[in-house]
Amino acid sequence: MTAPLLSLEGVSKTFHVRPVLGAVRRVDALRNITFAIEPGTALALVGESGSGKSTCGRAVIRHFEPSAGTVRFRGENIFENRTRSGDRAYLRAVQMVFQDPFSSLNPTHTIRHHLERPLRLHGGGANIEARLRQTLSDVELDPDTTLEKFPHQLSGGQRQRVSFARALAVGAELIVADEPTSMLDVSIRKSVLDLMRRLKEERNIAFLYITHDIATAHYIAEETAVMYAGQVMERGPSDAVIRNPHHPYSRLLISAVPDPSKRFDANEDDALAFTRQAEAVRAGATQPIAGYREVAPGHFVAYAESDND
Amino acid sequence: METAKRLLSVQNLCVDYLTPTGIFHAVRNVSLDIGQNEILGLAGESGCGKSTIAFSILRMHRPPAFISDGKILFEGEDVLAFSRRRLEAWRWSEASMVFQSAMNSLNPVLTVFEQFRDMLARHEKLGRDAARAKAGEMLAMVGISEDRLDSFPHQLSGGMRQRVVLAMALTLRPRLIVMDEPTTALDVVVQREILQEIVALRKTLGFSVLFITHDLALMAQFADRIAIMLEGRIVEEGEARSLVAEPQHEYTRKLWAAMPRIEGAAA
Repeated sequence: MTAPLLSLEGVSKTFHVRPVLGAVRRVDALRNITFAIEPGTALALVGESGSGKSTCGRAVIRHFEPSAGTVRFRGENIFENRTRSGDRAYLRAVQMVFQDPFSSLNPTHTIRHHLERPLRLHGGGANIEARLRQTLSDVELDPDTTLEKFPHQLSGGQRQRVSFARALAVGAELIVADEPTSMLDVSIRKSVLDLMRRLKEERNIAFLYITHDIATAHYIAEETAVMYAGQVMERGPSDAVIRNPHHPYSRLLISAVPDPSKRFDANEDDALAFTRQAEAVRAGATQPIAGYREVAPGHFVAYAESDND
Repeated sequence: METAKRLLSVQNLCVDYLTPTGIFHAVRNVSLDIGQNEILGLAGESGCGKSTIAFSILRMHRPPAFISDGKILFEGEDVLAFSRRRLEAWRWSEASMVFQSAMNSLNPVLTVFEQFRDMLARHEKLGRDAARAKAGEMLAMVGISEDRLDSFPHQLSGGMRQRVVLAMALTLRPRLIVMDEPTTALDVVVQREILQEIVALRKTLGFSVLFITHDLALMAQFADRIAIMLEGRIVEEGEARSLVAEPQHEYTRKLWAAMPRIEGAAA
């Protein structure tokens, strides 16, 4: 087994929210997160909004330092022994693609500017023009027509491709993709997912894929981790986690994924029962996790202190 | 006596936008019917005109959009011919709307109760106490406790705000509720809770829904009939079941194929 490209060990992050009025509030955004990503594979972080999945992505791109735990990239703690050249190499190797393709590109600059700048910043070198064109073809955009365009002249899907091109241009090894397809139309969503799959397979790029869409997680990621309230409830091979979820919260989440073959039952009691069950499961899932049980090789399920058996 | 069963009948509707570069035909000759107690799903990509239809039905379209042709009949009455007063009375009490973004459809400087009171005072001439009782009752119906009446929208979660909007839309017992992507901003668990609630409420109260979304799988679970839109036209319409099992139009098949699906996921 190869060494993981990225590993998180017991990462926690506590924010202290200071409102204008009122007392300081403590928010445990991440609690004891542990997972690893191998080169050329994808790990999907799934969960509802506010579960801490984006915070996790931001810790990986070094947006902030965790309150506890370590983040290792190729075995090195990314918050220790920082040097200028080391920082630069990390910033080059780990790239981010954001959810909103409409605000993540600068509207006053051409696509050429968006791709040329990272290339020059990270070494540049010869043949910038050739590399620009190559990168655009790699993400299935036509270099002749796209380079001189402004972001508003491109569709959402094309803009998202430019974001991936920007990451590719500098030779990313890990792309943190935070809901890259959730703002795209259904009919182009899959083509962007296919692009990610291709980058993964052909270029050996690893992905931390953050999403609330479990079907796309299953489509693209080898491993899936289900998050709720800042903790990982269950993680393991995507297929096992999604088809055979063990944790009550994963079960709830996966049962709520729209399935065209199942009609909603028009019964008030059922609706109420579902809501009650959801509330109970959520309440249980906010409890601190005591540890993980390995139910199958690589498939870990959290248990709380209260349900120790 | 086909017409008797129909609640809403849109006939040959055309909606155009005046743009600097000319007229853009957003809705082209669309006809659709919604029966009593029926949920009609309208699906399509962004820009296909589905929201324009929703706004036009309640005559909430604003310039540069205008209805250039067609009829909108609500129980046989021509909505497009309504006087201003009739239209104002008709909205909320007979036809209401739930928008995509619950945050933007509630007034941020008014409490939940004040939002209800606005509507109740105007339509039912209810006094403060009566309005409060009614608002509390409606909140309870969508599963929110009455002491939330004095909360401001920002103090509620996204799901709760969407429930408040839904409760408001139901308060005057309208016959038709237009829902434009009501759960798109919510996560799947909350989405499921709210939609199950709508299905249950429809059974007890009885109303029709025009449900707009881009999520075909969700629509198949929720709607009785589905219409698929492409570039301002309805390209396919049919029973939800048959549209799932055997889509006829190439575009419908393309939409289905574009969605990654988990086969045989655990329930």
